[in-house]
Amino acid sequence: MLMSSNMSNNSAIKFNNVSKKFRKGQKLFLKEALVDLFRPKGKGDFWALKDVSFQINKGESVGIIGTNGSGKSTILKLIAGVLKPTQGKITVEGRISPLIELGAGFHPELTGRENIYLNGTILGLSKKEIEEKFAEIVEFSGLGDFIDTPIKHYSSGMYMRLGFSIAVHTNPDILIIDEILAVGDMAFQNKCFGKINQFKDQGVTIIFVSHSMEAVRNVCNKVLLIYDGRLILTGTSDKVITGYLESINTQTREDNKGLDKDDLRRGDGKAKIIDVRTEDKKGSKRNLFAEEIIRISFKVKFLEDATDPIFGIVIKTSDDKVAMTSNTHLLGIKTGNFKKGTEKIVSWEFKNYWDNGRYSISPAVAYKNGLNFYTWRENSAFFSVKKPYSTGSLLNFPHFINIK
Amino acid sequence: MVSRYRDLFIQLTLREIKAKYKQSLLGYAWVIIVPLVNLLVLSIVFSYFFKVSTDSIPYPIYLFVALVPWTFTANAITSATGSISANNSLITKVFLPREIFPLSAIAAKLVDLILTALILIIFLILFKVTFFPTLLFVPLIFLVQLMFTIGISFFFSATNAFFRDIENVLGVFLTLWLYLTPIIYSPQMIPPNLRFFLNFNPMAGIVNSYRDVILYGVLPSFEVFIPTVFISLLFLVAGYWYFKKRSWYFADVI
Repeated sequence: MLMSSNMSNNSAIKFNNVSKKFRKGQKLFLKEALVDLFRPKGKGDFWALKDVSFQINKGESVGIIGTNGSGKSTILKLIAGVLKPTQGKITVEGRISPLIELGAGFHPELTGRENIYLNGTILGLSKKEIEEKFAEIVEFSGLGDFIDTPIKHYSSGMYMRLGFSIAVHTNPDILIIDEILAVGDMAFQNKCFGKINQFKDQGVTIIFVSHSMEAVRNVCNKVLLIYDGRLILTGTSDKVITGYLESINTQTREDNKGLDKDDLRRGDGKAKIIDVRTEDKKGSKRNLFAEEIIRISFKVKFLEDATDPIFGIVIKTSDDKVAMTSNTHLLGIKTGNFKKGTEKIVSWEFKNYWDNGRYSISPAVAYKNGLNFYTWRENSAFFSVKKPYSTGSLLNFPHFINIK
Repeated sequence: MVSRYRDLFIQLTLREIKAKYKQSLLGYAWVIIVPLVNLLVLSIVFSYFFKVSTDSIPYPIYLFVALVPWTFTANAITSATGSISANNSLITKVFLPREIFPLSAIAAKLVDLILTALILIIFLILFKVTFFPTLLFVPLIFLVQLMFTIGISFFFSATNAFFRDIENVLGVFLTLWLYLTPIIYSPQMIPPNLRFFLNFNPMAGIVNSYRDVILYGVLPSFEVFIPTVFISLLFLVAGYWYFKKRSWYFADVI
């Protein structure tokens, strides 16, 4: 974390011509590194961020949006001080509470109580501060007596409630929220948004990253749009979100090509989604549907052993509204164990009740806890619906009209 | 700031200790069982078959006095080496001084050391070994050992963040190192013209010093102890410097 005393009092975060270069691929084994020695220098490098400058003032709520792999997480990590910029200068003033991946550092064998102390100190509280806030944290989480149960027995909702509860009790000056509200029930989500609004009123600077444009609009008054490592649009939420949705629709025309080109997506990459496709009920590939049955399938390859992963999809409309979510966890399906190297095809089959329009598919493979992802490929395939008539709404299903 | 990281250090150490205790049926009993089995096997092999001469000292005691500190260093290095990769979700998300991870991994192994040291004390009593006043120097030798252990752990853990090969090679390396250190044999068994090389192995100086003050009631010789202190300090300083330098790039690769 770079601190500077000579910055204007108003600025919380300032990026000055910041660029970040990564070596492509992770050379975790000596063999690969040796091979690399003989490669021309600079080859295989890629710029996750290129010449990004912006200033976020104290008390502002700023959203960062962009497709996966555009550089959003890199910006968050640079703000958090976890990464160092390759070029440029970053100035951050104030205590940062990173809400990135709730419960980072939780240990499944320890109880909720023990994990509050662990996670609290990780997020910068002293033991004394945690003792003072302990009752409040438990109260907010609503875990009650479960607080003395090892958290491996928690449901994903309980897990995330505990994580959020600890994080919001750290009294941050800058709160970083990265897609944390994707899981959890409605009631708790509302509670979280309530807490975020309370922080806003207290003048906490909020950095919010989400794929839900609705959430961004609710939380933020300013939005940064990142594309391919560059900051391409800054302004009010409405202006930037509209610009973003338009750019996505243009991109959609390139259709489902180049799926593997941009594999730097959410998740730790320990599984890979290879081929996302839509089919009719006979199994032939198809992108336009009028009739009843749609089949969506993807091929997943496990690069590490996996236990009970959750397979899921989110279908969204062209204006980024969720049309359907489904996963094996919701349906109560135990998926079993998969050895490293296994390839599986997961498919969904359902009646097409949607109205005319263009729909995107975001498949994901999540860990058993439902919080961390092996991989999550936002908008990785598209299909269209064309029916004899349009209802002008999301749904268009067979029904009868009786006149008696 | 300092108190903040002190509390974090304590919590991370407790996490290691508690998790180990909870995950297995016998829990901390393993900490005692493993060195005892080692002791038994090595004692049988080297006092009955190979007949290592240890003068008036019973071989099991001669061995155990060196095996206990060696086990601590070996386990601490192993645990610290994996600590960066094991905590990658934290390292890539929260800004923390990264040295806290290998340090807490080492600190958690202190519990094991205390338990095995208690067994050692029981053995010393059972074998009726005289308690010498030179025992007061044990903490000083341990300080040197700790400096060395931390220093070398910094090297391994930082390198392992970039090359996972280290984790795989470590076991072989430690076995080799065990046999290159006069732990199961006495330094007198090394040909005199080769003994010079022991100066480059701080663990040799450390276990010899423990034997001197615990079993023989004499102070370690200066020509052994001073190079050991010096090299250990060098490892600590250089290891920390190297770790700090590499730690800027941990989040880039893991």
